[in-house]
Amino acid sequence: MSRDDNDRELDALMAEVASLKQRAAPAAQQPPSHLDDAIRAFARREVHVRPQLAGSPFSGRWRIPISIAAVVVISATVTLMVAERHSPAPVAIPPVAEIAPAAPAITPEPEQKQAPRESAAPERRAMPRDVSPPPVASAPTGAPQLRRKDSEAKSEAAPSSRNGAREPAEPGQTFAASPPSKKAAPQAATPTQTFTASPPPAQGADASAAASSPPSGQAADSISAAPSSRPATEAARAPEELREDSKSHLQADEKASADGPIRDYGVAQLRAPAMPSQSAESERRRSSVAAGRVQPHSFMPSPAMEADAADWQATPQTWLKHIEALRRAGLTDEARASFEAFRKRFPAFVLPEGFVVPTR
Amino acid sequence: MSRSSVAYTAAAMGAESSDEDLMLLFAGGDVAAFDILYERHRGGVFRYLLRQCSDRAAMEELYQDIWMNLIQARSRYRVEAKFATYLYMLAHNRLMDHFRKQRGLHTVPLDDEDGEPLELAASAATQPDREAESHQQAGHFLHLVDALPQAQREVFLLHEEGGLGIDEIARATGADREAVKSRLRYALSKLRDGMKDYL
Repeated sequence: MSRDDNDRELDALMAEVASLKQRAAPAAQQPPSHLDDAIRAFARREVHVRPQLAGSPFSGRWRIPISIAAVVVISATVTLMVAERHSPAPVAIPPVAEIAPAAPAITPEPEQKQAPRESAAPERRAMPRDVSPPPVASAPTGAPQLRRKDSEAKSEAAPSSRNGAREPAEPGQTFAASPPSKKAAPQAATPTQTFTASPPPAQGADASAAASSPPSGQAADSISAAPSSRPATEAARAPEELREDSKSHLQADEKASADGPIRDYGVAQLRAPAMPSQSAESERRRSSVAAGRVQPHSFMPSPAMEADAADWQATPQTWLKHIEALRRAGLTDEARASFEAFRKRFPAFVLPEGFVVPTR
Repeated sequence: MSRSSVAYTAAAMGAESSDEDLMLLFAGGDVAAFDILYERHRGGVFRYLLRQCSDRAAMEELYQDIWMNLIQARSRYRVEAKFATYLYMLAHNRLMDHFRKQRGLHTVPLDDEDGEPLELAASAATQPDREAESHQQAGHFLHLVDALPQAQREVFLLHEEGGLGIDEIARATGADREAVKSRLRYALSKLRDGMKDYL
């Protein structure tokens, strides 16, 4: 049978059945009135709520890309703001000055110490809140300030920490007193209670060991965000040891807070970062960074990831693949929501045969 | 057709305006155009669904969804084919989505041309209240329609209720033209044979 015969036969069949249907005249069922009303009301509401959609240049294909771009820009801005807010607060004095009271007898080497002090000075100017507690908070509260740097300061003290950690690595220069220490030491010595908040002898020894051991100095060097020589040592220690150390620091803070208003300022400033869970977490992360397991700031979404999110919505096929992946991963709710959004955007797209619509 | 060329109202155009013009007017914010369009196609879409979906409540939800999808997608409408093709494409897609969701509960042979009648498709004539109202002949015809395999029934309904031709049905369902012809031929033959007693 030729193609024309085929078509002719089909046409004849159509005519025959049409006449049959007419004779049978099944009652033409119509939708109920409540459905009609609901649909007409929806049409009016949609047109009145979003009348600009049809005529707007952003109504069609540009609306979603622009929305995505806006979300990306806002997210990046918020992330930057949050990161800036939690960014390291500059430390009032370089690390070597903090250690100065613990080893006052060591010969000063002005030409080596001048550099860290100069590098720290602009940072102090940039953050006035750390300048306000003047020299009193510097030398005597050396240990708490170190902790503060541990939790808050991530990147600020990198040059000073390098100087503080690498140079003392040479034997004999371990605690070379700096010019700031000369300035700070007399101030620290005048109030008697300042020594109550100073690090315990063991900590001073710890710090000296940290500064004198070459591997820890190298570790501190590898962490750009490490504020002082302490993290380098802590990175090499066990987490339990770090937790114990953190507790002892907290106790020292509390003890210091009871001593006077001047120290209260310093302790109040330092208390939040010295919380055991936070400091333990930050130290754990820092040690991971030092060991090369984690990238610093790896929590920030990369632009590539955000671009990927926009990519799979570009075509119906990629979107369906994404939905399929969600469904297979067991994220049924997300898959269903994504499918509903897909259907709203591509109502006329015919789904491929093997595609499974996600259900509850 | 550009939007500016249809910068007149549906009321001025009256009943002669084409579906495509009305849809463009509606996309431009003319609700009266939608009313005319809806009036033209409400019965066809409703019966298209009624013959294929057993659950009345689900069918009404589908019916509402289809029109709402059309309303929400009005700004993306382009005149590339007959409006009826576009509308029944939405209806077909929504119905297939529904069937796929039901797949876990029922067996839905979407492309079975010669298979057994679907359990899903309820016989409207078997419902007591309708049977009482329906003429015997009309009831039998509807029963035959309901007894068709799903793919054949859909093609038949798109042709009868939607007024679509072979090519338009192929486009709406995403099926091959020859397959559509074959399904329609099978459907018509079965209906004709089933109505022999009434000839």
